[in-house]
Amino acid sequence: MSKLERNSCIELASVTISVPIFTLMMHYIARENAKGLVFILITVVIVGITLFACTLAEKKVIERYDEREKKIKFKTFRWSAYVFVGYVMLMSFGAFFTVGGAGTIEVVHLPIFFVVGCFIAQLAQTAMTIILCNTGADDE
Amino acid sequence: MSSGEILNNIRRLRFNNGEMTQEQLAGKCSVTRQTIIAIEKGNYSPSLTLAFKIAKAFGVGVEDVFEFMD
Repeated sequence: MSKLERNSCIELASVTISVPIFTLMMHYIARENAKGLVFILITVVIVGITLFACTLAEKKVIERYDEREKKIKFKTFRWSAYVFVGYVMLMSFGAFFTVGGAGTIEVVHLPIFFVVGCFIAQLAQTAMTIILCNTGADDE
Repeated sequence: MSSGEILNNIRRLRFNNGEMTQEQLAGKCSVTRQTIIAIEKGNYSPSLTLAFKIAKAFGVGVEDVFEFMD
């Protein structure tokens, strides 16, 4: 297993672990009926720091890749973005047309819906990385 | 030699340079062995910088390592 494949699997494991943690946190703050500017600020600070730390870590990892690995990385990232957009479209319109415009989807499900989308996108990225690394079909 | 638009002589040049391993060549060019394998098989076209690094590792010109076929 190459460095790129290994790192991609680690990323998938991290996202997989974060989904139930996030769901539990959502369950807690939904029970507390969290709303208003204070809760928004707390969320923005926590998410902001986490994203900043993850971006820095990811940047350091990418700097260690060679040019071919970087190409694979960006190609798989692009594909995961397509998967994420496809998932959002499918779930949004799917929910609309199955539940109906007048139906009720609880607002607490929206953040979980987003995080599950992140997991699916990461799964797609990891799968693509493994496929491209093993087939050598990574040329643009 | 690989098929495609850009052909390369890496395998032959490695052989002529005392059976240089892919790992050794990768080390000289600061890339992974997988990248050298991909280039050698013709699955990946390297950047100009990497092409020059490979040529330098063998002590030859870029045109001796890579050939462009119309």
